[in-house]
Amino acid sequence: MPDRLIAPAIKPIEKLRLVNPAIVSLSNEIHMYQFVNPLQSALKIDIVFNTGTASQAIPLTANTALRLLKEGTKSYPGNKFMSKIDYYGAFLNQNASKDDSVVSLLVLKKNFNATLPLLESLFTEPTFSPDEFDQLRDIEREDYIIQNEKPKHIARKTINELVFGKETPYGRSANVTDYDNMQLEQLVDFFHDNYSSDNCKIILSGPVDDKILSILDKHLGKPWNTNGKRTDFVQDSKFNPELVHIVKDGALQSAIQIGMPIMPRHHEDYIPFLLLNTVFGGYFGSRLMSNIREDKGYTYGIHSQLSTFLKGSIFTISTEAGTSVTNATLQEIQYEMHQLQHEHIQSEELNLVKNYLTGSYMRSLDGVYNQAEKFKSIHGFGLEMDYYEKSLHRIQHTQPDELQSLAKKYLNYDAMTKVIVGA
Amino acid sequence: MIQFDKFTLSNGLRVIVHHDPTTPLVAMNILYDIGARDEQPDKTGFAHLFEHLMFGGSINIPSYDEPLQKAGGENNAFTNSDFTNYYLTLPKDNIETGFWLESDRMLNLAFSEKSLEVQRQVVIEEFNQSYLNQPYGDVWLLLKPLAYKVHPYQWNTIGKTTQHIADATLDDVKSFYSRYYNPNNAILCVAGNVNTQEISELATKWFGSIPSGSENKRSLPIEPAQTEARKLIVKRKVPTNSIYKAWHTCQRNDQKYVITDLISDILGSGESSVLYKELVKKQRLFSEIDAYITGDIDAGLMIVSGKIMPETSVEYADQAIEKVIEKFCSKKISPTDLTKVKNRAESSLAFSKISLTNRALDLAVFEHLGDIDLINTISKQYQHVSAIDIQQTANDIFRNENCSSLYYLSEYE
Repeated sequence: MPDRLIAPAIKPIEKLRLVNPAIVSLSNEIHMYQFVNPLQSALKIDIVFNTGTASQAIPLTANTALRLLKEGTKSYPGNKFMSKIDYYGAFLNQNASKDDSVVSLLVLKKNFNATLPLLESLFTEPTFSPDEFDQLRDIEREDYIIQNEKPKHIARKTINELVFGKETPYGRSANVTDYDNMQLEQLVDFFHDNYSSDNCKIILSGPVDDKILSILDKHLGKPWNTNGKRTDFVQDSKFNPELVHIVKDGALQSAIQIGMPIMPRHHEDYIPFLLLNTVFGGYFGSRLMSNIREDKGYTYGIHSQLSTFLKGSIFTISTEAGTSVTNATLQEIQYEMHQLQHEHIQSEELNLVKNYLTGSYMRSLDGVYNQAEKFKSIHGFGLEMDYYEKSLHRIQHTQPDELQSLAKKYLNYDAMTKVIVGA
Repeated sequence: MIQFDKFTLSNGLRVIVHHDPTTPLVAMNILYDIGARDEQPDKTGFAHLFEHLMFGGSINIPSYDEPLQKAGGENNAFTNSDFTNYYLTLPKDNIETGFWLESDRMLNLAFSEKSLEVQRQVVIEEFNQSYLNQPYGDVWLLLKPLAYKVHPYQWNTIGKTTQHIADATLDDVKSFYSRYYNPNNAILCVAGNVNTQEISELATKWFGSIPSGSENKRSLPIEPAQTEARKLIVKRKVPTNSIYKAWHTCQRNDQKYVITDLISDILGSGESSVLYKELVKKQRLFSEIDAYITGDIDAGLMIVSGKIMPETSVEYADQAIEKVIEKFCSKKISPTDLTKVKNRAESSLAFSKISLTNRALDLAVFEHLGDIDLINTISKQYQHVSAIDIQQTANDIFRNENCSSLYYLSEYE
């Protein structure tokens, strides 16, 4: 019988061993970053354009333009395009976020050759048919209306507006009239100006080999949409903390978002603050979860996080709590900030969080597809894979003193905007 | 090919080992053969509430999460109608921490009144968040009791009402635990850079001395064949009218299961599916429409659900769905469409095996179904389906008297 009162010894976790991706260029000079594992059967190709929603003059332009592409091309008109994608068992995704836009294809290696002409066609000969445009707009408007009824969605949208500024590129949200006013020409122009071979990189993961690379060059290696007019944007956040209460009749819960602007990714405080955030609300055992869920039962979940973009970053706390305990929840959030400002984190807890984060890095960097995903998230900031090793090193060597002063500097309840959607 | 070994400890715990030398992590998955279908009709939601209590500390270890996090690990769990599943990943070097934690909570729980009180509250908030305080959140609370009159699938994993959760007592918890949380009612799968010898030693060391429980013979009521179409109309504070239709289908272990799965893909999975092309793209009656199966172990459901465009009446939209399905049943699917849907099934299966955690889960699930080899052979089953199989099974499913329809309408109209 093992002695169950004694925990098995914990071994220090070995270092992350990460290598930067091999880089090759297509004939049109698109850089391709490769994360290779010949044993896998699935190839993932991410085409990342250096332009996102922040560059659009009118809300919805970037995402709608991307989604309209698959509604038909010259060689594969109308529904033929998606029928072919489905026929080859491929999964196509497209999404524009603040700083970039990504078109992703996940396909079995054996179907790669058959699928690439579709990808080529998507970028070089989309039809932008007015009829397909009208329909896509109507469908997306319906989806928007439904999303906009969700308390959490409203709260997230509102905190983003208030932290970055409602009229700024990062803070601006769409509203339903934007669908009515949307013009096909805007989308076509945005596509030609931004979704071009001279404004993108490609990230490949899976069983990449020379044959795969030559297929890619054949179909995506010629210049397309080049010489577009790309406009830079200015993100000028003017932040003032406020309290916004959006009442929903009959709500059983309040969706809460608390937020403020936070330091950029290159800032010296960024990595230690990431550690502090983990202690505060960044994992299941965090202060917020332990207190507000596991001790009080006010909520199913509560989290805090940092989201960094090229020209601005946001710190948010989010939860959905029973309406009768909304105020109590806010008080406990405030209490936990106060604790971190006034008391050292004990070494037992701090070591646990450091170990947890190390394991968490290992998980998020396990295998070529995850590595490609993590690379995608930092490359725009000019960072490489060794960033993760350096971050872990910095985390391991962060002391309670520094965390306490970071809490004093950043975790100030009164300096944050609170959005409450519900009762 | 997914390679694995399998052995059983003398107390009945089944252990599966999957060797993957490419990862520094291990995944441990423990499936307990207890789900919402095993609950009493007046104590629903209990299996899921119990899942929460499994994190409240065990007999020798006051906190489950802390030692795991300290070892660089992370865990979660889910409950469905058929089973309760716990999984964790951690660096391979710390694998023994996983064995220690999982075996101690199988040996005995701490059973604290405080933990029960808090988790009742947490689960009620989960109920509110996911089912009651969301547009369309209560659809399944309405649709399942419409389709099932006898079988326990008539309630959802979360339970019939929050009252059942509020009423759970510590005595309920203890008797539930002693009945179901035993080695002979569980399947453990370990995946990673491990070998069978080392897992066998660890399993024997940590789980070997846990006594078996009595055998749980399941005798669930069989849902009688539905003999007339059912309809429920509700009005809610939602922006858009929607429709949900459910037809009874076969069990998970039936030969027709993969055929049924392919039928749902052909009809309503993706933008080139039959329903999407006809009703979203061509007739423009819906803004979205999907078809899928519930995938339960006992006889399940085929669901078609759609959001209706503003100018269309729900009755017209319903008739349009029925017409598309009628036409689909009346003729054989084309070879191209059949190949397409098989290719999609092949890809989906391959993509789902990328994740180590998924592989550990799938192995445990197939073992629970009674045939672990399905992990490698099910792909072939999909490839062997013929156009005639599809037509015959579709005609068997899509009978009017076999259908329950839920009109979920906007109060504002």
